[in-house]
Amino acid sequence: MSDDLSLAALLGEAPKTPDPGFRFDVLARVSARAARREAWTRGLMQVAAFTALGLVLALVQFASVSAGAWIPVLSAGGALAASGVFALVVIQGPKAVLARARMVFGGA
Amino acid sequence: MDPAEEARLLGLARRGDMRAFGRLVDAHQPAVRAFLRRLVGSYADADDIAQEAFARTWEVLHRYDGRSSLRSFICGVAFQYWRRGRRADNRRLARDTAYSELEDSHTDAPQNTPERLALRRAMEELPADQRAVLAMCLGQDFTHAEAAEVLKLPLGTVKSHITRGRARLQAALGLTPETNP
Repeated sequence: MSDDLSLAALLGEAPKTPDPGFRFDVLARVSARAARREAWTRGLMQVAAFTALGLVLALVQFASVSAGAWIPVLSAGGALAASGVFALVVIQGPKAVLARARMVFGGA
Repeated sequence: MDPAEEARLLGLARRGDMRAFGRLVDAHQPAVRAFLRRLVGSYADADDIAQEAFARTWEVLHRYDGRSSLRSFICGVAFQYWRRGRRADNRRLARDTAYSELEDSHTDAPQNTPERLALRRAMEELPADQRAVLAMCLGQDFTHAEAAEVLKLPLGTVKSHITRGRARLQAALGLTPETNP
């Protein structure tokens, strides 16, 4: 009763064999933590993007630039974005673009 | 587990192989869970901390430098979890009765109930470091050096913690160290 192993056994015993349920729970927690971390990152990115957009619009308004003056800039930006998407489709294939779009907009 | 096999699985797990990590969990869960069961008292709480510790280990595997055993590394993570959670749990535990704690802790092994209760009370009166040293070393799952590594304590302190802690536990059982064969 008084030896160390008896004391240890009274305090708590080790599982006799590795428990597959325990392993399953650990892997589920790993996945849940990864998903939570990704959600945080995505949320922060979205907040940063919309904050930057709001800041730009506020600065534009502050500078008293009319909306009409931005049409050429917006047109050029749209053309560049369309070219970028086309380049991605050509380089990586349509599935990669879809996966990227789902990753960006899926958590919104 | 063979060290070479463990190193191989560790390499795979670091590259994101969950199956390899699952095998490492299987290899180390008995020692980690035994340590936490002795430390915490409640089997359910101990297993909960153990699962969190393994999940956290997956995230910080790149920090493991191989100087200590992987088992010690995981126990170090688990000990930090327990110590943080213990501060939050102190208020809750104060409301629990010793009987309900006992019932919760030992549903798997109801024998020797008075001894278990006495030991559990004695463990809870010990300082956190001393309690952890006893939980690691009494069952001979870990060497004194491993306990020193995990708990960031000098080896001499670990040995004195064991001597004094063992005497306290034996006294709780109505035994004196001198009666020890």
